Amino acid sequence: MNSVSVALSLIRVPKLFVSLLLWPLIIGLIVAAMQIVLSTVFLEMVSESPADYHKRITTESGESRYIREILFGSGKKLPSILICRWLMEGSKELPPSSSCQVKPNEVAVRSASPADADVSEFAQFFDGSTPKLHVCRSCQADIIIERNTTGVTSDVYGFAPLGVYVLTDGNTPSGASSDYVTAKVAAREKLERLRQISGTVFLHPPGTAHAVNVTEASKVMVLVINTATLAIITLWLSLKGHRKVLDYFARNGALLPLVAACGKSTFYRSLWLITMLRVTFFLLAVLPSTFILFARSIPNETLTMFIGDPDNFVLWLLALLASLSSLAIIASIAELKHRHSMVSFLYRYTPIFLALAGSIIWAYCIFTAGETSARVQQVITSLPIVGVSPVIISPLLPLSSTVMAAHCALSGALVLLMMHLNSRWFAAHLEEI
Amino acid sequence: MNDSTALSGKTEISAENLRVNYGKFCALEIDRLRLSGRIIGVIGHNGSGKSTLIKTILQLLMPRRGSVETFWTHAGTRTALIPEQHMAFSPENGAIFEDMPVESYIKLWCRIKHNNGNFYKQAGSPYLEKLNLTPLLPKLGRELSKGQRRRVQVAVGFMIKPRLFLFDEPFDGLDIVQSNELTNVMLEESNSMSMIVSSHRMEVIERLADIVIVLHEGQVFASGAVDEVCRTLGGTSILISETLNQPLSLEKLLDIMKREFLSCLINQIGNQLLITGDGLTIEALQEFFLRQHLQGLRINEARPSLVDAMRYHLNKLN
Repeated sequence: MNSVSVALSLIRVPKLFVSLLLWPLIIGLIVAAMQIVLSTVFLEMVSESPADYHKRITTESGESRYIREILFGSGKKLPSILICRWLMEGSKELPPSSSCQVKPNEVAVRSASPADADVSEFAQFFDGSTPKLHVCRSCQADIIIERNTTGVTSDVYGFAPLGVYVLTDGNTPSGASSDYVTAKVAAREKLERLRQISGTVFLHPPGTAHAVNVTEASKVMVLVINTATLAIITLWLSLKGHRKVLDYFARNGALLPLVAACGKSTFYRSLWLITMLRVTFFLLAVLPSTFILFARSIPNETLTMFIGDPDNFVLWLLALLASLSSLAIIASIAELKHRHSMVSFLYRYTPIFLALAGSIIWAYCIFTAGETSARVQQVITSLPIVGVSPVIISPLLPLSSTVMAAHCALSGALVLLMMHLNSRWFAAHLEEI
Repeated sequence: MNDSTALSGKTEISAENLRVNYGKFCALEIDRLRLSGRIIGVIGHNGSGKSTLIKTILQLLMPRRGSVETFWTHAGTRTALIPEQHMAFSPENGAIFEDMPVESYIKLWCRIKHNNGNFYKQAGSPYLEKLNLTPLLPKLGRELSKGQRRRVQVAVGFMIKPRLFLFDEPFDGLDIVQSNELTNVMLEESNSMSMIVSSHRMEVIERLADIVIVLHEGQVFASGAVDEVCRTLGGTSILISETLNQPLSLEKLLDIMKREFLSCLINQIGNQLLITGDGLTIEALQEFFLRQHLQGLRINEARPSLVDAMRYHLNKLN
């Protein structure tokens, strides 16, 4: 009997297979999809030049194509607005033709005499945002505009039709917002020209290893956020996976017989194997898309800036893992102790408070240049938990390798110390206390 | 392990300077213990350290100091028992995954212990029959009663073919019929393996065990053969019969005896009285009956039952 065969036997338990392997795979795919969508949208936003913007709004999709897709089932620009003046037939009011039937997300302007009411301004305003404008006495539509003694009111029936108002911003090539679009393109072009005058902006904040390229910072931030998110989810899956198996077995009374039958070390090794398999499933789902995203959407200069010195980059990854591990271990211990002490829930919030306090002091020191501030920043960053924020953003605001190494070593030592001091709580399942 | 050498073997427990803690709380402290038997009963009240002793033998709990070892002794040979190789364990509440059919759970164990998920269909099938588990195979864990859950884990333990099977409160929650059935299966299987059984149910332990360990507040209060322990804890029992047609009614006699033998335990069993206590002699009783003008009573000395011995012992402690 070895830990591999025990692990393989355990993951054949359907519930464990679903929660330990299938679930992380699904989470991985969701995270990958979100990562691609959000990063692409963000990168498009920060990288779009005025020329790109102009090109985009003059294509057949234009702006806000996602909203049009939700409202009208297609992202393409709408044709010019059709004005339907309703007619009276006896006591009934009817649309003038079959193409004028009311559909969702359309606008009706109520008037006592639909045939000759002046709706030119409404048509201009909604052109490109809704297919038809109904002019009628009492017809029903998702948006109804009425003139009364107190002025004009619009009644919107449902949340989706509110999207029509969002579309009115910058969509109508012939309507009023075309002026706004032209002005926006011109303003962007001007801003871009001015930016080029000042060239690439380098920030020299106190306490950091070298200058920061502010112009490219937002793109690097995307990489930092993606990497940190992956590290956090991976750690979360590891700890949760480990505890999930223990909880499931303990709840069903099978933990003690199984540990006794397999031997403690074999059983726990098999749990770690399952945990590694769980993390592997997650990474298998998420890493390929991340690499494709990075390779396709991130310019080489940004990648070079993100990685910088390869040794420092590896050190950053290690510091990131050690730092987040220490937070995760403390949270896990808090969870274990929670059942036994009224105030232990505070343990969970203490690291968050410390990290927040460290971030505030560190940020404050940026604005108070001086040797003392730089020293305080170095001390904060070296400390585990307290210095987690500066470590996370260090590809943006680079830290010296000594400080990073100190943070890495101290965080690792804290993890080991916490595990040693709280070993009893990790074995609490066996004690059943 | 179910071979000829296994037959008639015994398990030896050897503990030296043992101390097991839960944090600062000392749950078990044994200076020295060495005994061997085929079925070893561990008895004591709640919190006396029975489960802790079993978990320590299984190496689920690590002693703060000292050690406890178990050996298989047979025909002059003595082999150290390793939990994952030689032991099986049935916990207090039984064990089975609530969302899994019994059959799949048994298969899981067969895969882990025998690398063969279908082991239960061949060599394991007698245990399914003995413990009436065949009708339960398609049921989910959550559909089983506490007794049924325990039977599943007991069957799984037997299928492992251990040299030492440890049971933690196996009779808790079972009715008399179920207790008897399980006792019979355990007695039958004790021909091929030894057992350690912790229980509050002393009448069952008395029937089952050849050796008992009595724990009290984490310490061994008495240990050894059942007869020996009963006498250590309860002293002597004397059965008084022919109590009818006496000048005193049975209730009156019981009342007088309780006042005379203050420290003794006196039970009425039908028309008989059973008195248990230290230093009790037939002569002392005869003298007492003469003083009370009671004649023709039959007085027989007996070994106190484990239940009476424990009750007497606990009364004395209180």
